[in-house]
Amino acid sequence: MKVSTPKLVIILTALAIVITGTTYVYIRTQQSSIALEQNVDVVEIEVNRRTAVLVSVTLRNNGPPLILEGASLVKIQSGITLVSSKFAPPIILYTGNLTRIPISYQLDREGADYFLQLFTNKGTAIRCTISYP
Amino acid sequence: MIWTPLTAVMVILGAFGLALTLYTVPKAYKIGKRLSRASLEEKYGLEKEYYLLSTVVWVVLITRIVASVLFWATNESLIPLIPGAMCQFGVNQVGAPYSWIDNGVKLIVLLVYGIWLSLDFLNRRVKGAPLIKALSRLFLLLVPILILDLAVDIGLYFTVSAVTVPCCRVVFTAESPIPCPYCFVFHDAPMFIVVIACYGLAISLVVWSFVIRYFMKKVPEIENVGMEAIRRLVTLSLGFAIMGTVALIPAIMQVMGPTVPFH
Repeated sequence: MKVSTPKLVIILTALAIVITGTTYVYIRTQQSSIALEQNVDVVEIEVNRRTAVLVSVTLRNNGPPLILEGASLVKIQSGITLVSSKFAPPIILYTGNLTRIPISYQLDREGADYFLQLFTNKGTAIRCTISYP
Repeated sequence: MIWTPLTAVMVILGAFGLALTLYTVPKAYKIGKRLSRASLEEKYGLEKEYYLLSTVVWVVLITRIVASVLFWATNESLIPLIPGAMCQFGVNQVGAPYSWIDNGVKLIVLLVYGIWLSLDFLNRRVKGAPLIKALSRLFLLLVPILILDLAVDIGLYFTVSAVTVPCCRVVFTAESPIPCPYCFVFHDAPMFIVVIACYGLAISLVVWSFVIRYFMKKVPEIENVGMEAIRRLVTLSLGFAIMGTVALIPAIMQVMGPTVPFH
């Protein structure tokens, strides 16, 4: 079957739209399918407003000890994970303790809303919302 | 109004385009109306007048295409100057309703103006310039969109001021099924600018080739030059579509983001 060039251009354009849409739906599904930790409270979020850098987050663990393996920052308005990092060594959240997690993520200077996700070794996540400025 | 070099350029281009359009409209109307009934001598005069018109229209349409690219750059540059604006959505909120109309117009500018430019390019290459009447009438059909394009540009940049606005975070929350298109394309996955530009050009070139094909049926004199033009347009279009597809790979990588370290 011979496909004419204009048809090929239209097919490629349609494919690009479908691929982009499917990828976006896939990442949104992945983000929302992570089980969230119920026993952890976010006590403080420290942002350096001069440099627009997320400096740290302080957590209180009310449940059994947890091991945090990494973190990621998702911009809510675009749904895209902007940055992620692995904690080396992993951070342990002991029961009843306040733990300050140092994070150094650059935020948009103009402002946006973010989900900060901290991933545990159980495959769950602690999620908090950050609105900057 | 916020005066910056870019907003000043946009206003100047708008006023300049509006003046030239108002100058060309009566001429195009006169040529379109009189050409078929004109005597040989009058025909020669109208043809000469058409070449002046054609040159002016080229200047207007090319400056409008340049302005349509500058439009996005100008709006992006205004974000830090408007309190509360986080992306172009905030700039559009300040410049509403002109901004929203302008966004729509700017997306079709290349497609619509390119039709006239490609047909005029053909007309200049064919002996006897057989498309003069059709091009004069086609230009008159373009005038409403051209005036709208120019008027909303001037309206927008005179309306935009440094007032506090709610931005996209009011509309695009965590529950929204779609992202803010301005944050998505211009800030977090900028490779999509290349993808959209390439596919936009590819689609426009295909549409221009269809229009040339249509005119070839109506005006057989342009058949040889028209076929050659269609071949070139379609090849160029395929080239842009392939470039868009190649650019889509890094664009998708930007959407996927960095690897998330979970189990």
